[in-house]
Amino acid sequence: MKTQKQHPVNSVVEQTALKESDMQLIYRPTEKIKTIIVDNFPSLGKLVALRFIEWAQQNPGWTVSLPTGKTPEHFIKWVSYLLQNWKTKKVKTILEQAGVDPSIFPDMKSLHFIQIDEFYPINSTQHNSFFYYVNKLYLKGFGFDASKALLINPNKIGLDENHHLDEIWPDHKVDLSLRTRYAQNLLEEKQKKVLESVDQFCTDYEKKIQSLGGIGFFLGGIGPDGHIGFNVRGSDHFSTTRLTPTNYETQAAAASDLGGIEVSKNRLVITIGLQTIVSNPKSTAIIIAAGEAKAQVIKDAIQSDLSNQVPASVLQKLENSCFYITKGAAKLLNERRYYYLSKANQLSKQDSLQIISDLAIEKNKKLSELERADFKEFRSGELLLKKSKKDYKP
Amino acid sequence: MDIPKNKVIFHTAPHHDDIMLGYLPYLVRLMREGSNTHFFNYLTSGFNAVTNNYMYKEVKNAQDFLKNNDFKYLLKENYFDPQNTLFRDRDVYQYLDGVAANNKFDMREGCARRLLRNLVEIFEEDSFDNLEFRIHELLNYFSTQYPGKKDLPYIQQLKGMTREWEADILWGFFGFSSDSVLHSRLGFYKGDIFTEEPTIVRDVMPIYENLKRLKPDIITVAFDPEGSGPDTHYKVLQAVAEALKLYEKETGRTDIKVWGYRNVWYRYHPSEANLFIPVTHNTRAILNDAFMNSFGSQSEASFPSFEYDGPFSGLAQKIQVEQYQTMKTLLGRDYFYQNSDSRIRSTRGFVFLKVMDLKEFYEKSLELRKTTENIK
Repeated sequence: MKTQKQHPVNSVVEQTALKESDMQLIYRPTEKIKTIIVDNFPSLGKLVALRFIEWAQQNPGWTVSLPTGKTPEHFIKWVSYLLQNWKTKKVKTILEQAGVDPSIFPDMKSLHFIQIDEFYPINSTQHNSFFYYVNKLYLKGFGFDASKALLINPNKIGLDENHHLDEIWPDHKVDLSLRTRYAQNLLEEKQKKVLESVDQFCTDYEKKIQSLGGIGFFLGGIGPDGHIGFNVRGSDHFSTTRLTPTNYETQAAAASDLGGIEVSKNRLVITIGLQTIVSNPKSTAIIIAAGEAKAQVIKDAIQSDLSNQVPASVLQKLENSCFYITKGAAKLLNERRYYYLSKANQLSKQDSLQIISDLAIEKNKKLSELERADFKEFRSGELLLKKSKKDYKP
Repeated sequence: MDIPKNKVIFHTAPHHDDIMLGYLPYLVRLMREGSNTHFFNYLTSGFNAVTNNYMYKEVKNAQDFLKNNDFKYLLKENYFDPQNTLFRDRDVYQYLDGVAANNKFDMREGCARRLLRNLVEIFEEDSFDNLEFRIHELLNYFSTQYPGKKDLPYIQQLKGMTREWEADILWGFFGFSSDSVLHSRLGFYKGDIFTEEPTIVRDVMPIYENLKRLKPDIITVAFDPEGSGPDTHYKVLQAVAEALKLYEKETGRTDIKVWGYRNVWYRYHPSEANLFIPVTHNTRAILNDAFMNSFGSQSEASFPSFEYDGPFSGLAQKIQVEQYQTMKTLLGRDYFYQNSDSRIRSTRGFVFLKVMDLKEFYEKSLELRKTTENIK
């Protein structure tokens, strides 16, 4: 008989958070990956900050990849706060309450920071480049050793000091067909050469990551199409670092960072691959998400079987992978929703109406035509009958 | 289908297209009932959604018109005085006359007039030479800055005023002048990656002052659920809730109703809403026409939703039609096709709203606050 995969919780921080959430770590068979739910957006940042510090204490010298954008706002604030005020009584209490040992200050300088992704081409001195973001908020902010960091700096890839990115890509568009065809003019000759250098850079980048033992701690957000890093929907689970185009959803999400979709639709990206993230089975990978806008993509990521239509499903391969999400982001998780409903002494009017209208839509029936048998067909319908202690009469 | 009568309705919005994308089909019905009074209060200037490319084209357009003798005359006549609301409204009429006549030149002239008025206000310059110089400077700025760079405060102001102009056009479509369209530009909105929370004095008081002056019976508010962090809609909702609490305390008025709306970023589950407004081909067409003719900076959809490749009016239509399909399942096809009321028979979309009394609104906004900020 095939044994079911166990899901141990090795982290005391996760054990503590799980206890507070009053839920299971995973609801099998519906859910395929561990999940911890927190009350709100700042708590999400605090939890992941404490988990990161716990991991850094236990894994000096290994590698770390951290996300860009707005989602890690509280993570960055909490890590900075904890590191800067480590010796204070207040921080000591916070650490102890979460199960982190305050006697071990994490040696950030020992860690290798690995940048996850970057637009291409983009001038890395621009404030909306990820290179700028990670330098400012992670390397300087957290005190990583810059000389140990693996970074993606488009200004330096395939260019010597006499050439500038804008000169090679004057309209910021990369024609990937140059990979397979001859250049037609002088500019294309230069472009082809740089493009070849970018591809070589990606291969070398991957090689360097693997020589460091893969990514020890990966923290990522999740995009509207489920992308992890810039591994958009449909990405191969065995993908490695590469230069690649994105899809519409990703371009729309990046439009505000890049100043409009007119810009983002023409930009390629350099991203580590899905295999890069899971190459070491001992790695810790955490995906964070907040808000109802993420509820559908979170449902797909947590409840889906391994599929390249769901990039995050690759994390099922890691024993130490987990989703940390807010209640809003967890809203569509079947088992969690049922848990909340069954825990309540009485269903609210809105919950009852939602169960009834969802049932009608599922059965493709008018509200007035729903029958008791319809309710009994679905466990939430049955729960409604039980909790309302009366027969449902439309 | 009951339309409120003799009400003062205070419509609030974080951004300039939020109201129309949320419930314009209902507003059209409300405006047809002449006993209601409407005010529209935009609470941020929305500058983040205006591209440098768009601004370049607008400034270039103003430069072209400025060379025109008529404009030199207007300048002499003090037409561009920022304080002169009569002339300010005339920018809108000029533009709308152009829309009606399908005359692009008149529309462009309306845009040029308002942009020059905005430049006179920002730079406190009203001489031809100085304006020419400023325009030259701006053209250089918009053509050299990389897209997505945080703008300087006066550029943010100019971009924001461009969106305000678009809202003025929108309500001009329905006969409202600048007295009815209020632009508050709350201070928390700055364009930083990690943004500030609203504060009482800076962000709540401007709304409170408007409430005191206008004495509304109904207030509308963008009412999104838990977001991916404290976003603009969330902050505006909290600022409106705080202003209402102050106003209720001051006046003792507890009879005010709050209408929570959602538009292109979030939608209500039918169980969450309690007011369901039919959308017909007529009101849908008004939405699309008014959007495309008013929101010049948005019609190219530079900052679209990931759900829809096109302008927000198209996404709003898609959502309204999906909501109609849901209602058709819940109520049955014949309810619509066989209804004796032609307004129901002509329904092809739905807008969902949530009507709340003050107590419920405060409770909901507090619940939302607990999911977004770390409060107990």
